[in-house]
Amino acid sequence: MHRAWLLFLPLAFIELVGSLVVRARVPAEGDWHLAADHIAAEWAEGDEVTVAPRWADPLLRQALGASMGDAFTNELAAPAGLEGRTRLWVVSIRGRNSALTPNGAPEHVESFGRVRVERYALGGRPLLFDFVDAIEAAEGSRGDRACTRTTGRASGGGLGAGPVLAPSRLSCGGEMVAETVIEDLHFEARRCIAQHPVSGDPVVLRFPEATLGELLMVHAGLHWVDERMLEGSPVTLTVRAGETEIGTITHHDGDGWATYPLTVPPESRGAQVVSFEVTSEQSAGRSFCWAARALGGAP
Amino acid sequence: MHTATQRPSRIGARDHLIGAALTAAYVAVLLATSSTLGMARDEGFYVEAAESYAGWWRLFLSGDESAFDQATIDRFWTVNHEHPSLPKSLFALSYLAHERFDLFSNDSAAFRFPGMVMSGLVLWILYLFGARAYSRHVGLFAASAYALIPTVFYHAHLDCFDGPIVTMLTWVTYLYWRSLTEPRFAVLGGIAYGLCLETKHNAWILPLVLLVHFVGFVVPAELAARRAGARPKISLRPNWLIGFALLGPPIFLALWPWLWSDTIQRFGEYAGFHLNHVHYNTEFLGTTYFGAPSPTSFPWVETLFTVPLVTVALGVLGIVVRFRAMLPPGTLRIWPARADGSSIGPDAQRTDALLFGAMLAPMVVLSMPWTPIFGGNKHFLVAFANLAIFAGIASQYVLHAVRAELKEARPRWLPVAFPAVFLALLAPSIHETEHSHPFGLSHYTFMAGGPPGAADLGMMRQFWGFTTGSLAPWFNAHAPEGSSVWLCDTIPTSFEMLHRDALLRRDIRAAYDMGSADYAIVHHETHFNEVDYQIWMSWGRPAPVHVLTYDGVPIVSVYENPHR
Repeated sequence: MHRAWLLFLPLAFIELVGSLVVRARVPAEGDWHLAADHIAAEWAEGDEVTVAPRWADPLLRQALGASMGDAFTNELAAPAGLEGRTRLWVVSIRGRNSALTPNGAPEHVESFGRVRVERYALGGRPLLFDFVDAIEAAEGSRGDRACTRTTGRASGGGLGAGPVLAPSRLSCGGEMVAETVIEDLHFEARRCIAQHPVSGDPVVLRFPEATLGELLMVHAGLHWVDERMLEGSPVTLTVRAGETEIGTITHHDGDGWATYPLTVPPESRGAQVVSFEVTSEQSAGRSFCWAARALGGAP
Repeated sequence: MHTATQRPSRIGARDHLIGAALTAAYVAVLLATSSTLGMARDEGFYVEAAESYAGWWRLFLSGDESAFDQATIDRFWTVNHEHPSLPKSLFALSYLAHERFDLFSNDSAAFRFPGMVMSGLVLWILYLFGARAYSRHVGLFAASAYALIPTVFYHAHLDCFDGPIVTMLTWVTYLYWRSLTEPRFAVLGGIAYGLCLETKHNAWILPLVLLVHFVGFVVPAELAARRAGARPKISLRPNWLIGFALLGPPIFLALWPWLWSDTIQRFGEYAGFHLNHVHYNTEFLGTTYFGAPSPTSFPWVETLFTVPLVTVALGVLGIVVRFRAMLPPGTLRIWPARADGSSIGPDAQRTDALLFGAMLAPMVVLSMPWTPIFGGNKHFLVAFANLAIFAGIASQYVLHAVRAELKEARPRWLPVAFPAVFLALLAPSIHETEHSHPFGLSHYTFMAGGPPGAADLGMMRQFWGFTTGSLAPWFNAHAPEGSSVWLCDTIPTSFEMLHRDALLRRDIRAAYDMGSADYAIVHHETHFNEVDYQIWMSWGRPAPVHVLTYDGVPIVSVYENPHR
């Protein structure tokens, strides 16, 4: 019977060696930079990049920032979705896989030390128009008053302070509409247009030179703190092409960053004035943010 | 089966010497490693409090009678009145001594030193407790195993209360245990309980735990023994409780000047703070909790993932082998003793039940769905101290097994069996504790797969912004002269301590506006992702220029303002 106690000695050995193995398997910082240099060298318009596991995201961003410079943008770091993208780079460590990884084999695989790089062809619908990219050309109104564009510097910040708006904003009767990056219900970064419901006349945002195709892919959500209690009023986004309603989506607390595909009727395709109107019974704590991409026909 | 443990005949000066040596050695290591550990958020609050209290102590020590005016007391003692004053008074007195005699290598060490000593004293108590209750081996192993838990090592450095309260709770428990057979210890127990109350509010629940032990285990067992004809061993009068009641509150009040006026109203304010405590955001197994219900498994999983595996396994096996001795009186008949007399049974003080209860109580409280999430394991470190005693018991069984093997196979090696087994069982703890510094709060053990495995599992990576100090070398090397840093979760006082300790260049200053700062840092906790994204929008760039990592896991990101 007493011999069973001896098992603690190999257990101690296993724990000690196991801890050393964990440390030995940590990717070197140089591995991340080599991987990022490779991606930067092969980068093409329409590419997107993601990392697995998600907690390694700062390491990838640091390395890509060093390799790609200003070409590594908020748009890449905080994607609203993958539609319209042509290729996806998946950078991984520890044998993990990204939830974004498409089915099928990668078209390219290479390892840099303990960092693995895969590239997938996405082959989806072509991107015709990105509304977040076009925010600078947007106009807004609230009731019969036009919004005015203001430019300053981004302000705010700090835990609990909520999303910081881009310096260039539309001021609509005290309500600001602008590009931002929110922390969604699952703490992911989402680049989108902050357009909050207001009491009284809603803010209407118009894109006078938009182009619509077969599909309008809308994503929407709220800053996580405003959505996590699951007790806020639903928020409705109505999309129109000219006077024609393309669709209405309703976001409920708990939906998180949700995707709403809207089929565009044939008569509304092509160059259009596209407008977005956000309403809700409640205005406080409704940090609604949306992104939309107009897509062409399926390949 | 060998019962392995046997109480030593006499615990005396030699044992106190061993206990003192353990404490001294631990404090020496803490002091030697303190300068690489930047001040955590709450430490900064307690430095502010200690500096304020030091002002009052200067008046008092100079004989200025105005020190006792209410206005004077309120001026100095109102700050941080949500926590009692004993540790902060000691921090203040240590700092005053440092001011006068230049005792420490830096100011942080001066503030922290009393916390180190208070934290280190638990090793002395654990050694004595284990030695008196079981054997010197148990005491020595328990003290060593507890000291070598990475988060214990981290908290023992700080000018905070989490290390000291473990010492006070363990001391009070020990004195209660002694008072059962030696009533004179009830007086010391009462004094200790007053100091315990004055250390941290964790003291509130201890009498309840001890009362359950006394009423549910000790008294019935003593009555049964007397009915069976045994001579009295335990006083049926709760001398300890009388000591607590008579001495505890007066000492608590006497040492906390802020309570000297409007006592009831102010005590209500103090208690209300803790009874209505906010929930902290805590990431646990992939979910960020921000309110009730708290996850019931939290303290258990945290224990499994932050205490070295061998210590946990030994502790659990120690509990198993002593389980018969923990059974309530009257239930032993369900587990009859063996005829050969080798069964383990309870002693008169029901020591095993006491230690098990003292271990279980804080974990059960923190398992309750309505208990606010405080974060981390610092609120149940005392459970680890009691677990360490059970680990000590099991380690003695391991030693016996090794000796039995050697006796037949390698009798010449018998003399080295004790140090060899001791070191072998503690080797993982030594390694993990050494490696964890200065990232003690971010450390997870082999059971979680180390820090990377814990990150995969979605475990909290840090709190208190304690890792800013680890960035000082990077800023010293890279930041242009006069740079400003937006500090995320580090409070200005903690940042200022980096200057006072000469760890950070004086020209690098704190920024209070993110947009205009030259640098911004983000302590990686999931709910802090918001801050990352704010920086991206403020500066139009999502790439940090530096990421502080621990075993490859991001701990802090540093962003550089491209517009500066």
